[in-house]
Amino acid sequence: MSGAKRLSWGDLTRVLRALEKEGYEVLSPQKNRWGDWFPEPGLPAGWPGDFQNYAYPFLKEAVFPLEEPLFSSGGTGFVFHAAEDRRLAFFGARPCDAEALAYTDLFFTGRFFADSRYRARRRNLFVIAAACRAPCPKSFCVAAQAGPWARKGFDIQVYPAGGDWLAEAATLQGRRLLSAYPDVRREDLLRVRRELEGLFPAPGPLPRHTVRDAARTGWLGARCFRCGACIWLCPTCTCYDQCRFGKDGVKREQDPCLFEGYHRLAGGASLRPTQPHRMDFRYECKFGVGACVGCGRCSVGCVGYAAMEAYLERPGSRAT
Amino acid sequence: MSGRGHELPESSKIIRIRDEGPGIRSFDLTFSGWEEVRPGQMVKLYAPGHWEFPVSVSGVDEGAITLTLARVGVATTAMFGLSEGATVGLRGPFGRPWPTQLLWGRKVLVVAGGVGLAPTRLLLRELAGPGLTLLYGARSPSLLLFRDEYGELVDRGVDLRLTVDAGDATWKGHVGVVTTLLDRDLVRTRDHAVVAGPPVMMHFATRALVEMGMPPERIFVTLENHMKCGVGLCGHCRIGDRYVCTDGPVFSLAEVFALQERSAGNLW
Repeated sequence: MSGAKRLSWGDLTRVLRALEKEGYEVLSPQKNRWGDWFPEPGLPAGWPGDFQNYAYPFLKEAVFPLEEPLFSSGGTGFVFHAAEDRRLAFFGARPCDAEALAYTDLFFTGRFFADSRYRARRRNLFVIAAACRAPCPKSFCVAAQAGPWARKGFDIQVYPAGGDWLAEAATLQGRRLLSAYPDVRREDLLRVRRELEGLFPAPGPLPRHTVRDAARTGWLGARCFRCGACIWLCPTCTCYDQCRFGKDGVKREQDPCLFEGYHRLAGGASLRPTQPHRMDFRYECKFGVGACVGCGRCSVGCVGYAAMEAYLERPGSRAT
Repeated sequence: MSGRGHELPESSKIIRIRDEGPGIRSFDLTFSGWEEVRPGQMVKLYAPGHWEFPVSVSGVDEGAITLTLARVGVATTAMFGLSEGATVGLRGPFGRPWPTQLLWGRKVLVVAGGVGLAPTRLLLRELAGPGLTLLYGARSPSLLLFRDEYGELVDRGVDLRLTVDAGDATWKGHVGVVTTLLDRDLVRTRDHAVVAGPPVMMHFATRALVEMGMPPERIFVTLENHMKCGVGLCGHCRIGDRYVCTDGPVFSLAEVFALQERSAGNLW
C-alpha cells in the first residue's frame, strides 16, 4: 500500500467536479490564441500534452498578490482590509510551484508573525500538482529537489502512468477526494517516479552561495538591467514594501531587492549601494537560505543574462 | 500586542509635542500597549496620509509612550506638520529589547550619538546609578537631546560626559566626536557597553571599544535603521537568515560580526 490511487481521466474529472461542488473555482492550464498558457476556469477535455509550465507564477499570486491594501484610517479608527473570500483549485500546477508554495507557506505562516491575508487565501486554495515529463527551458528543478515530482506543497499530485494517472494525496481533504479509487502498490508509484526522473538530465549539486564572491556578483551585477523581471517571475520572492493607498490607507506591493530603493534607509544612505551588493543579497536568499526551486523562469525572463542560469555558470565564461 | 494582533494599528492621539532641538521633536502618544514596551523596542508609526515606519520608543508613561523623531523624510515631515490632539496610528511593540536583566547591577558604558540617545533613554532610566557611564555626543549643543534630564541622571550617580562636534559661544564642555571621550582605562573598568547612534558613529565607536579591550560579546548595538515592516515578513532587514526586526534590533557585536560574514553590503 502506498496511499496512491489509480485514476482514469474520467475519474480525475469527477474529482474536479467534486471540488466545484464544494465551492471551488477550478482553474486548469489553457492556451490562448497567442500560444501563452494561463490558468483559466473550467475543466479540460483532456490533459494538454504540450503544457510545460506557466510563464508566470500564478500559484504564488493566488496567495500573495502583486499589491493589496492593508488598512485605511476611517472616522473612528483603522479599517482592516481582509483577503477576498474565494476558493480556488489549481489543476495541473507544476511541482516546482507546489514546492515554492510550501516555502512561502513556511515563510508567511510558520515563523514569527503569521500573515492573516496569506493564511486566509491559502486555506481557500486546493492544489492538484501534475508531475512533469520534460524539463522546462533553463530549469534545474531536479537539482533543487523540486521536480520532476513534488515532495510537498500540494493537496493531490498526479503522475501520468500509461493511459491512466497515479494520484497521491498529501492532505486530509485530498485523501477524502481520492478515497473511492483503487489503491496502487508503492513499487508502482516509485517506478513511475524513477521513469520520470530518467527523462531529466542528471543534476549536479547546487552551489552554496558565499557572500563577497566579487568575481561572480561583479559579473552578474554589470549585466543586470535592474528591470525586476526575475523577481516578479520568481515563485518564492516574497519581499514587499508598504506605501500609500488612496488618501489615507496603506498597501503593500512586491518590492524587488535588485532595485536601489529597496536598500535605501531613512535619510538616504544605502545598505547595498552597488548592483553586485544587491546580487549578493538576492543569491544569498536563493542559494544560502535555500529559496530557489529551479523553475528557470527568471532565466527565461532576464534580458541581461544575469539570472540563475548565468549564476550557475562559471563567472567570465561569456565574453560580454 | 495592541490593536488587531500585529496587523492593524490602533488610533493614537498626540498628547504633547516637545521640540528637542532643530529638526527633532518628541511626541507623547496614547498607546494601549504601553505596559508591554521594553527598553530598545520599537513601534510602527502611521503618519496620516503616508505610510508606516518603525520608531524606537524613547519614553513610557501610564497609557502613553514617547517617540522622538528627526525630520529626515516625507513621513517624518508629515508628523512635524501635526498638532497636539491629532490622531496617528501605532502598533507594536516589536523586536528584541536591550538585555536589561544582564546589564542590571553591572558597570555599563553607554555610548550614544545624536538621536541615538532616544533608543537608550528607557535603558538609562532603568540602569541609572553609580555603575553607569554615559558618553553622549551631538553635532552641536542645540542638538543634545533631553537636556533637562541630565541633572537627574547625575543626581542618581551616573557618570555623564557630553561632547559636541562643534561648540558655540555658550558651550564650555568637550569638543570632538563622541569616540574622543573613550579611553582605555574607562573601557577596561566597564563590564558591558551599549552603542546607539548614526551608522558612522556606530562603526567607529564599536571599533574603538574592541581595540580598547572590550570583548564583542559584551557590546550591544541596535540595527533599528534596517527595519521596515517590523514583523519579519517584508524582507528588507534580512541579513543572511536573520531578520533585524524579529531577531533584533538589539544584537551583541559578536552577533553582528557573525551576521557580517553572511551579509552583502553595509551593516552600519
